[in-house]
Amino acid sequence: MMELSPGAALLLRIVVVVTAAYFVVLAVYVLGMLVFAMRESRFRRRQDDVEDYDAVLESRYTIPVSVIAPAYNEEEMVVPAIRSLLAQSYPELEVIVVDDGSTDGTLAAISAAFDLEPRQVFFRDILKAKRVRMVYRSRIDPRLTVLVKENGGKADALNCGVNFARYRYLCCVDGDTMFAQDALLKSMALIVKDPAHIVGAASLFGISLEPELAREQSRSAPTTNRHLLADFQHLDLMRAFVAYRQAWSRLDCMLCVSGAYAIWRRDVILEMGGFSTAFTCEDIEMTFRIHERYLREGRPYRIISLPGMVAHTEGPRSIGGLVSQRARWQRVTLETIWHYRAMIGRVKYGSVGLIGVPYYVLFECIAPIVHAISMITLLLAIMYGVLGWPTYVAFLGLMAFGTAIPTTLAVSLHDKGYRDYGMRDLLRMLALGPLDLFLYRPILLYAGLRGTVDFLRKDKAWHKFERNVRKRARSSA
Amino acid sequence: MPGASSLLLAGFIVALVSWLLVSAYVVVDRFIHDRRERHLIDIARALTDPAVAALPLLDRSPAIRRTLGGLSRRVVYRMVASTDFPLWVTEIFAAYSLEQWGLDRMIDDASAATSRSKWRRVSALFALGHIRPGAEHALLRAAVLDPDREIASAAVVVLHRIGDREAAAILIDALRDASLPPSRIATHLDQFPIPIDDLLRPLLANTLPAMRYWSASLLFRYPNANGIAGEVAALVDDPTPTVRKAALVALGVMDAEVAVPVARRALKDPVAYVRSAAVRALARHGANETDEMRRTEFASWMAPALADATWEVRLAAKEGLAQLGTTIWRVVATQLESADHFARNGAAEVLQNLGLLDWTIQGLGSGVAPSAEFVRVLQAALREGGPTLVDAAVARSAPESLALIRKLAADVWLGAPPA
Repeated sequence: MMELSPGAALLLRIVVVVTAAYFVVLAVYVLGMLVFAMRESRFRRRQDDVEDYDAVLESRYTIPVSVIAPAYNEEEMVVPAIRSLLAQSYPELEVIVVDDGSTDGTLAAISAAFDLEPRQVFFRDILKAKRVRMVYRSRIDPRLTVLVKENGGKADALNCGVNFARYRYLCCVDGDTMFAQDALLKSMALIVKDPAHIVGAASLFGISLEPELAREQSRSAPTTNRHLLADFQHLDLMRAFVAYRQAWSRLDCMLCVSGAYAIWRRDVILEMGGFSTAFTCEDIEMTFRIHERYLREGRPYRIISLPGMVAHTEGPRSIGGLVSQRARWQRVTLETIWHYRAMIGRVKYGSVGLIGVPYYVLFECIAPIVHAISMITLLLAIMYGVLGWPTYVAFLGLMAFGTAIPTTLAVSLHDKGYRDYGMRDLLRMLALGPLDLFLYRPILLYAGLRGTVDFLRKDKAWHKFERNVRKRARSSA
Repeated sequence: MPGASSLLLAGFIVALVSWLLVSAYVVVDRFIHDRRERHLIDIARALTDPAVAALPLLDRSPAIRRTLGGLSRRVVYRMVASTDFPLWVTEIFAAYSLEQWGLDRMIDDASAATSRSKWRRVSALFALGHIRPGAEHALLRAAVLDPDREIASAAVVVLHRIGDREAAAILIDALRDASLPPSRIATHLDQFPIPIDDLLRPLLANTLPAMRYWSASLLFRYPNANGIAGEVAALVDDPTPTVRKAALVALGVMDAEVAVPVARRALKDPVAYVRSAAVRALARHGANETDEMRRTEFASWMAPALADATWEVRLAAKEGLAQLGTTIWRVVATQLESADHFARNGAAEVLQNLGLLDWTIQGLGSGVAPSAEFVRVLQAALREGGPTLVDAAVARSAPESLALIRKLAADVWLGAPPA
């Protein structure tokens, strides 16, 4: 056993206690969130039970929606994604795909699938965006328009799509995501209950290695992938979306309307001046901006979380891809929190300033650093005999099963909502819960640290992960 | 840190046991759900058997009572109110609720004063909607006006399912008084199972603009009701612009003799969305005309809207003119000479969408000489449409026409080729 000076030993003890206090606060916060999440989830399930979707589907009064799908080098996924959008059970929608200067065969793939023809279309130039080179209309489905523009990033592509959109509600989606057939119907059925106040809606989507297969195989969704990394990502999303975001929605502090599927009122986006190109990602920043403006001006509004799973998006199959994606998420969070730091703890920003933003600061922004310090401290504490091995094992056990509880509850909420796990998959998801700490968290920790470094270096690149190799492609090769 | 060790150990044990309990709950909950699903399939099988069709619902199969017997009131009630199940399933649950708990208790559950929770009230309302004991309309009238939107929303669905005149009258009153957005109620009135135009017509003269709006809007479904077009047309002079708009939308499917003159007049309305509705109403009637001269006449009324100050109206004009077909091209072409920039490029876009540009280009490319007038229009359209219109035309054209388009475009831009 190595010896420590008394001062160093005291410092080590203090760090251990502070770290332990951090995790206790986190546990209390998470438990509180879960209580709200369960209440909200139960409420939404009951609401969903009694909703007459057939009437909404057949109605002339269902509000039409402009779906905007930016796509950059998405030749593999864009066609199935568009098919899933055009297959929506919804009375009136338009799909605007914005090809953001792709350098691969994205346009050729869309053109081949939907028989595009070029058109001159004069449209409003309200939001600043890069030049549109050509507008294409589908001869097969007149609801589909493809805008080909100079590359300007996702926010710029969305702004371009907003200029072109004709309807009051915008559904901003990713061009590589597969959407459930009733995604729009269920989303809008909820929104039209309070259209004067609901300005945005966040959604829940699942992770899949090959999301397009779900549609081809006529299944509701490949909920689990029988692939360890993908399943951990699925659990991670269940925690984030099914549990925490439901709670934030109930507390009126929904802080991230994910860009993979976000519904916005068009007039609000225009009032905000469109999506910002100054940030790496546009979605979380827009959510913060709306909160900041409306709360500062004391205007009534709501940003809600949709309870249902609306889509499946591709999750990285490799650890490198996951690290790249999560490092970007961490960087984006830091960029946004730093920009809107004035909201932290301010009463005038209500639950957003008092609960939502502090959560992001404590448990998202500085979490990788605290986790890293706690790991180092624990190792040092064991090395220097401040903590014994049994204590360390007990600590690990507490952390493993303690963090598995929110995961298990998220799985429960998901299962109650969808019942789409097979029994074997359900057991597998439950069993993976305690392993999350050892097999998945270290990857997230590394990604978080890398994202923090990238933020400090002011890196703004997207670092898109490479598409997963398709089984279909492999088998046909 | 000796104390920490035992504290952490205790925490570990608590966390482990909690996780096991929560996991067990998830599995058991799923198991119960799956078993219930299997029972429902058994019941469905029993109910489709014609041999037992004459028996009361609950006595058609032993599986029905076996399944329902183990369920709590909360579960049965929840299933009564679920729109996920087919009506025959919810009907069984309603019948079972009546047998098990009695009508008085169900009425208590459905009443605001005596119900213990809002979801119990919602379920009881759904159940009474099935049973129809006679008291349901009064309970639903109260529920639809309840400040709680979930209760009001459920009452609207049940009233729609009941589908009689009294239910329709309650829903129409709720358009004025309910806390729900009226469009939610209108959604159900719009698809009401029986005709309700006679209930809606008196509201055209209601003192409240919202009621006039909804009556005009909902009468869209009854375009052939006797004299309806005249009554709706009177609202095109209403002081409230939303009412004028609703009237024009409805007139788009009503008697053209009445609708067309008022829609023409509304083209000069001071409010943009009313003008837009007028253009679209004219486009609908124009597209139904078989006489080419008459279509051209419609186009001449609509074409000036290409120069409207508001995008919404210009869009309506572009789409409306394209609906009228190629024979109206001369009317659109006149807008290429308009002093207004929007009118000129809007006209170019419409001519493109009518297929006229491609037709002329193909003709020139194949050696068939279109008239000089066509070629002039083509050049003007290329000029007003700009380089993108030329590029689009090039991309759509057959290879033999490419050189020709480029030459025409070069002439338009005095020798400078389009970008």
